[in-house]
Amino acid sequence: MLILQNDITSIIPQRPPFVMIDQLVSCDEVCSVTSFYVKEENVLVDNGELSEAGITENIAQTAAAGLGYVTLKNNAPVVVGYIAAIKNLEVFVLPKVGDVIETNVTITNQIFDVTIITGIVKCSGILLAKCEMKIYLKK
Amino acid sequence: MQNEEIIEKINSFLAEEFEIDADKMLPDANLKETLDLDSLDYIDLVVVIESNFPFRVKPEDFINIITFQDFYDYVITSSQKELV
Repeated sequence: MLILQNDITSIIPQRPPFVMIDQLVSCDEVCSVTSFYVKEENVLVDNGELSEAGITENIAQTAAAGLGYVTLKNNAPVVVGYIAAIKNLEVFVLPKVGDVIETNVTITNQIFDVTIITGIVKCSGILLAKCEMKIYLKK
Repeated sequence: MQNEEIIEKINSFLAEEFEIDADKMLPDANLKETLDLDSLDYIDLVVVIESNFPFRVKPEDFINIITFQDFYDYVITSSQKELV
């Protein structure tokens, strides 16, 4: 475990109640993995399930956590990222309250100021959702 | 790869990526208007170019690309430079 729940906001710009990741499990220059416990009181939980918006936010925050961790580790200037586009989003199953989801983000390409990532969300090894995102990095 | 083969390859990936009929990709047609490209579509365009050809695209490369023929010439020239 690289970053625990209490410290997660040190590497992402989001703040409660809009934090959709708990822990940074692993991270390198290309991949980042987070875990997240879905609570009943989560603002993006609807009818006992984390909504699609919650899942996409979870993927985006996993990407942000990876970038934030690497930036912090390398003592580099902080870069702000914005979701520019979401492509090929597929949600197979919505995670339920009480589930712990694990999200894996891989940087697949870097074009100009845009980072392209793929995100995969799983729960107990079962694929819940996946998508591709373009993230604009304002330097 | 011959120039005709490169053009055929370009038309093939443009048709697939931007869901456009091949008969609309005329050499003198405006690339941006025909493919209805916005700024993020250009990112997709760079991804498919770099996935299919052995060179890196720079943002300024697009300044002089207006028509499909300009685009074909750019890819052909850049591919040849890479092979030298």
